[in-house]
Amino acid sequence: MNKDFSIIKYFPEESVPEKLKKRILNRIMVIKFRPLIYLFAAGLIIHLGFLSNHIYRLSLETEVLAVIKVMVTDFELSSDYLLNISAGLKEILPMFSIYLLIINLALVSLMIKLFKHFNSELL
Amino acid sequence: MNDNFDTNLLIAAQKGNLKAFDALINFYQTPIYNHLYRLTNNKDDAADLAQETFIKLYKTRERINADDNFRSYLYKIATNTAYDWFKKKKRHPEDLIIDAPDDYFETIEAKQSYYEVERLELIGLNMAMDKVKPAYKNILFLYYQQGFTYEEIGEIIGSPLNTVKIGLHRAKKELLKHFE
Repeated sequence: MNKDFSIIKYFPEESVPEKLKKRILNRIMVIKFRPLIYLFAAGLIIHLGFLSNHIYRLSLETEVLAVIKVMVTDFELSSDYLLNISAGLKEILPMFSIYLLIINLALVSLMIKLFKHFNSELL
Repeated sequence: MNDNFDTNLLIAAQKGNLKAFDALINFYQTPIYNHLYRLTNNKDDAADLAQETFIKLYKTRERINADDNFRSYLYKIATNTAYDWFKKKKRHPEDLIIDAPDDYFETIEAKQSYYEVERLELIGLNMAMDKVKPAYKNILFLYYQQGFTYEEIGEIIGSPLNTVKIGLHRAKKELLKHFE
């Protein structure tokens, strides 16, 4: 009886979808780089938090500058006074957001380089 | 691909060599995809299940013993992945099991001669195969198309040797029933 069913091995084979292997390898890449992806996401969230704070402060500065302009125009304040105010405003700029932006850009370029490196090894 | 080649690639993949894993995918994606397509009758589902099979293989690669039969292990993952898919699709649970062995094992007496069976059209048999329940289809393809032994099939489907033999016997009977 075994002989009779050996015809089963001649059932036609289907060709594998073209992108199947690529899908598999992409998923493996995500698994492999998962810690780095989480780190980058956390860094990006923190950076966005500081950036929004920075934008908020800038908007405050704009309002302050508008008020100063009115004060200068309407009340004829001295230029020394204005210089002191602008020096103070510069201190408001949060350096943290700039540092975080640099770190995140470095992480992004590192991830891109690693992806390219492993992709070129496999292709 | 002989066992040594499989073992060498597996050991390299376990050490993190992606090229070795890539080579394993290259060799096994076609038979695994076809096996899953035979079980599911759907190309998209077969592709999804094949992807899932290789991802599971990657995640569990370090747990595989290099002395074990890698091919059987891979087909075991594929079969279990397909069965999970059947359960999610809410297929009838009895489609996934091989009936319990009877106390009396009936030997098959060929009702048709060897030459009559030879006249079976490949397409007709293919159509009949679509009506066979997945558990039996699985055994038929593992035995006749992939060339696994009874012991290896037992490892793949997690059943004892006697159950595999009975399952194959019943699978052939069911296939003939749908063909006639």
